[in-house]
Amino acid sequence: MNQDRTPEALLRLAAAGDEEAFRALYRQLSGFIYRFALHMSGNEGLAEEVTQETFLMLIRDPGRYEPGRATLKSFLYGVARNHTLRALEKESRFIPFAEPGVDEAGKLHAPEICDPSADANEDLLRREQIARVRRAVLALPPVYREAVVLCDLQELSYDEAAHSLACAPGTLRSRLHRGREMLAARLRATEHHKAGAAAAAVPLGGAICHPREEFS
Amino acid sequence: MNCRDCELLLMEAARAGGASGAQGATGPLQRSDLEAALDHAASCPACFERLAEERSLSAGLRLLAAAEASREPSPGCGATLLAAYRAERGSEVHTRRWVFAVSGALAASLIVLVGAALLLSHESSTLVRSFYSKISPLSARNRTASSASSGAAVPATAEEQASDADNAAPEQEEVTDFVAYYPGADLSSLDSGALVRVRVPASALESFGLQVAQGNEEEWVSADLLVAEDGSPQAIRFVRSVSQSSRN
Repeated sequence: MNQDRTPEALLRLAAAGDEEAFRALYRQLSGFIYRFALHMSGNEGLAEEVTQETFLMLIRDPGRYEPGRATLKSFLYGVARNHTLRALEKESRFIPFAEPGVDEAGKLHAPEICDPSADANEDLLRREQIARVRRAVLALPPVYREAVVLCDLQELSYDEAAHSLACAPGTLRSRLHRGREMLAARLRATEHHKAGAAAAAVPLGGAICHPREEFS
Repeated sequence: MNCRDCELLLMEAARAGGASGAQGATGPLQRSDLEAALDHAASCPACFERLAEERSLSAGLRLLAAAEASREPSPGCGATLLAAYRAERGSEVHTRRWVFAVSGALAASLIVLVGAALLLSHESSTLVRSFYSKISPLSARNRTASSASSGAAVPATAEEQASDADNAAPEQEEVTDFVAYYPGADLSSLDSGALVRVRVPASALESFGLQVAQGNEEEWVSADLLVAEDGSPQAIRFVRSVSQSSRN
């Protein structure tokens, strides 16, 4: 029954002591918060920490959420954003992104998207594209990164995202535009770099030696 | 529409073309605006290239979002939060119980204090009365009716109060000294007692060595009887009401 309730209704019940409502609320929203922090930091440990801090705030002080002002989801994004930025400022160790599927030695060990119909090469290319976009997103300055993450990766509306970031929707839109410009420029640059590297790696026989193939 | 106007719209067009969530993300933009931008891009090579780049970027971002859509925090994270939730609710219940207990104790203390105050007030009034009678048997009646009505804390018997009520007109009493009720009795040994206002025939004054004017023997006069704790009369004094007007 709790699955059908809105997060706002679940919060009210959880605040009144309904443990099942709290579980349902966590199931509904924890993934969003975790993925937001993960996209922002590129670090699973930090993302989990941020998720915990965000929900702990909700446990200790549920009254901080004012139902009339915004949805609970965008309120929690705002809380998670503050925790994430604080953690990123404090610890620069989170910037290098450990790509999922690649262990510390750089070896691929588990594909992110496993499409049985796709052949290995196609799968590899897709994974590489995802990794490039992820790196480009992480390289954005935080003010643009959060706009891209919320609007394009988390698919929030302008109003919801603007509330989470405590700015006007117009400001958010221009940040998103600028962020996407920077993202496109970076992806273009890595594309050129990759094309240059591939051309340099063409052996006499004509087969392209992909930089990652050695790990597959 | 020129290239500059088109710039933001192309971003919106590229975003709206994909995931369902992005449909609502175009905000206040009208579909007609997007179509106008797309028309412009179709005829402008620079904007066409820009649109292609925006679409490619949106596709890449959607791919990333889809790849990580199933990423969730570890079960340990949920377990930790559930434990925190239980602890918090538990401490809240504990706090609520503690508050109830303290409130109950305070209410009980208040009731005891009020009871004690009422008891003390009753006892002190009795004590004051006996003390007053003891230390000032002779001046007890040297108060005016007006001072009595102003709320002075001078103890009075029910009869005195009734008498005071009857004598609403401003008047003053003149009293004689206390005379021992039984000849030879020592009044100084009296510890406590009460004054009782009585009415006696004027002829009774003679038995206490006082003179009565001729023809007044049949009249009744007021007297204050000083009664010991065992109820025996110890002394008596006679009272005469003097109206304010007659004094003036």
